[in-house]
Amino acid sequence: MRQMITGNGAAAWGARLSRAEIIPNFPITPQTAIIEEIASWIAEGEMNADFLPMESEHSVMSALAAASSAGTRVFSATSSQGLMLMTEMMFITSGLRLPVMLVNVSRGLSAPITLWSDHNDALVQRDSGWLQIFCSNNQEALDSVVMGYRIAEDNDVLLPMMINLDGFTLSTTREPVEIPDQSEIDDFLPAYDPEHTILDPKEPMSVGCVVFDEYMYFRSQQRMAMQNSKGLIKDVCSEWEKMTGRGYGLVEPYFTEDAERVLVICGSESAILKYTIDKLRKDGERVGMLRLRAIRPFPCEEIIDALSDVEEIGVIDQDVSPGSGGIIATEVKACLGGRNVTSFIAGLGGRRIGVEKYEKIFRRLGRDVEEWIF
Amino acid sequence: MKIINISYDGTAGVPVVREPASALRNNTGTWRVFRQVIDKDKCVRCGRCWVFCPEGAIHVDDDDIWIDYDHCKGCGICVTECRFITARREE
Repeated sequence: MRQMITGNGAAAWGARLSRAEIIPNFPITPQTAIIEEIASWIAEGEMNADFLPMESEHSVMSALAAASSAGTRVFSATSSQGLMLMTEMMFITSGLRLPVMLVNVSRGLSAPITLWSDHNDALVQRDSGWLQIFCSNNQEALDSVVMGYRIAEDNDVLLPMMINLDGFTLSTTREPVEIPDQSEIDDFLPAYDPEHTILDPKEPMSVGCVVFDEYMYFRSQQRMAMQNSKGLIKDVCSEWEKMTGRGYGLVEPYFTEDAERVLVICGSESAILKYTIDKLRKDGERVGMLRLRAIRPFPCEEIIDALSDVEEIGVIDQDVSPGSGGIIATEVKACLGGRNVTSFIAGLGGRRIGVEKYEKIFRRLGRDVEEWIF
Repeated sequence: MKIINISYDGTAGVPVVREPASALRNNTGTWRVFRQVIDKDKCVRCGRCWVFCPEGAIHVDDDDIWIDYDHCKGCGICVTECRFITARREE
């Protein structure tokens, strides 16, 4: 079924098709429409789930962790400040290895207040042990949620998954989205049947215990789970491609094979960058793009492979770590070990980047600087 | 990058305790600085200390009342609650 739906609608469809059972939530712009859509489906009897209105995002994440540890499939969505309030419980969720699904509709962090898209909210959670996928269009949002459950719930991974969807540019924009049949998804994604944490009076267990000296062991297990997820993301994506014809991976290369100049980017701004590349290629310029779809696990090997023959590399960050620089640029530089990478900070708080600015950025590569594109 | 020196233990590496009452094996009594002592001559076994002990380290039966020093952390709440319990410095 092909429908014109928003990114929020697509994410809600992802949860519905995945048969999420418990949906705790708290409203925040620009995410609220996801929860509203799900609430109306539950009220109309079209979706069989429990809808829990909570008193804060901290409680939402607590409820997600509790419901997941009881052995149910859970879903929620948030944005920006809401994600910040979840922070404490984010680490607990990943530490307890609960495959919670959260859609973060990216929005710049206060202060000053903005509502528009910015990746700083998601990247604050970079070290929280959550898998993070950045979407570039509405179809990818739906697909990523369904695939996300398969990846997160695998015994080789067992980590929570955050799907990042750019606020407004995706969340409120309508695009044609192919909604798969429920029967197709039921075959792809079996019911959640965990072994590690369940609520069963016959098999009591204590979840969230004190460990002291063994703490480092459990952190090492999280590290390995994240490492395992790399191969699994590729496998699940190729299985999805066989089923639906839509292929994804850890990264999305665009004309990187013969490119002299490549920009690394993540999120929905990549669509306009692709358009710019098409335009520049008509003029004979060998330019390309590498979109990072996964930020955790960070696709280091894929970046090295894709950029090995590229002469000039630039990274566009819709985020900044004051005192260090572009967050993605810092990580890309760590992968590329000493190669010249130009860092561009652009589109903060949803500030328009657009074709002209991309053309300007392509002309300004090859310098070891951090440049702000206003 | 290759990660060395750790392996993945699957669901066995999830921080969950499946054995009931395993905290009994954790001798938290070693944290204690002051040792609470019940004056058995004056004690009437009313059970007030048993009610207030946050650790469940005080035990009462028909004939006796005693502190489980393997699990008493020495918080002193029982000393506040009962005039017949005194705190002495650990030797």
